[in-house]
Amino acid sequence: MEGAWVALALTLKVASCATALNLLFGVGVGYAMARWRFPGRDLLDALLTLPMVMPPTVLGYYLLVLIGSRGPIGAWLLQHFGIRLIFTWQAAVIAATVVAFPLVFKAARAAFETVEPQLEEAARTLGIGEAAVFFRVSLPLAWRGILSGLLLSFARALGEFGATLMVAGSIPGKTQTLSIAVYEAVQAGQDDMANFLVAVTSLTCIAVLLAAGKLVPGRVAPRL
Amino acid sequence: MDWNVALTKHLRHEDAHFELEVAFSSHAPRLALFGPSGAGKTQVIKMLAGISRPDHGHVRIAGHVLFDSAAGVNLPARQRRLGYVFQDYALFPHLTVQQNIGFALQGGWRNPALRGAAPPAVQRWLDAFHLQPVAGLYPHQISGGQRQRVALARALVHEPAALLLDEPFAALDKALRQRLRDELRDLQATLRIPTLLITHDDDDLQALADDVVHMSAGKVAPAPQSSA
Repeated sequence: MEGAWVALALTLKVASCATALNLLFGVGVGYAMARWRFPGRDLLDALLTLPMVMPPTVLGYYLLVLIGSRGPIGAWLLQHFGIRLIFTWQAAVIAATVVAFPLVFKAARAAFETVEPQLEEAARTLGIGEAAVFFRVSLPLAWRGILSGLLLSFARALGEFGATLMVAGSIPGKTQTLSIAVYEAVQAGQDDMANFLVAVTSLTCIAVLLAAGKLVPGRVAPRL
Repeated sequence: MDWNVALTKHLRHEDAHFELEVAFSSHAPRLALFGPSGAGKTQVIKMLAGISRPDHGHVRIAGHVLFDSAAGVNLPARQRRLGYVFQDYALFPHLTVQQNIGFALQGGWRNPALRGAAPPAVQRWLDAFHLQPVAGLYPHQISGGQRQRVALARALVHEPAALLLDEPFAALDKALRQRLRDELRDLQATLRIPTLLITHDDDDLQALADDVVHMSAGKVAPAPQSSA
């Protein structure tokens, strides 16, 4: 049963890293898409949303083509830094990040679109620089929406299976996350292990939901 | 005191086109931009504040060149040192009254602290506008008149070179409007700060302006014989 705890720790590590990356990318891209009009914006929006609707195995295949040692990114990393991404826990992070990205991006974009541009204009007339306008006005006003997107993306990353299996494989103690471990245990007929893993996964999900309830307070955001 | 403004801008909203072409200059410290709604008054004030960019022209206020398309000058809004009171006040809903007023005094990426003593300048405006009792409340928790004073205090706290007021009484009922109009007139007299006021109310002109620019359909209009 010790393997279950290793898988749990790895799963939490992968999901946390993926969520942290999505905080950066999802919020940045969501803000850009909410504020700037440019040709091809709708197409870009569709492309960025694609990971949400595409089968994870297809996504995993795309990633394999890109970051595999013969793919453009993978070959470059190998040549310049000697890094092989495939079948590492970092590859699992990349897979989870890509799969969960649209959840943060969509939530952030919607949240920023509800922020009155006039409030940002008011901040500018008060002598505040552009970065400060973002951190003092736009982000705090959009934060609740972003946070709910982040929690969803964390939950999605916890349960990631298809793309992760394609790029990170199923190496026990190294890249075997909870959901993959469950699959392997069932395939191998280890019912005890499977039961235990399923129980651990369920409890983890309940804990995440409880934490989510604490993090996103129920009170209504102050409005003018 | 000089207002020297000449602006053109082509505005497009969906299929509607609107040509804004406004030029006026005045030595009056208290100037009003007067005209019916839809005349483009708010567009003009936004271009003065640096929120909206004119196609051509210049903006010189109190001897400072804020915009000049021929010379390639276009100061960003944050460097124009103009106090702008928005029509619906645009108070920051996530900040308390005290934080709203202190917003301009706090540099960096963090908002003024939620608790603790406010800087002296903030205290002064809290006292002057009788806002001490609501200093810790949020904009949605205070009255319309208080919101208007918070917006005014927030704009004045960093000692702007001029004050831009966009229909400052539009959101208020009639009785309150009269009282706040008197307050604003007293404020103009004590601070001696140049003000540009947007209004379509004759009473505002009487109390708060020395000179009037009439506007209609995006152009400066000749003063009507009777303001019917």
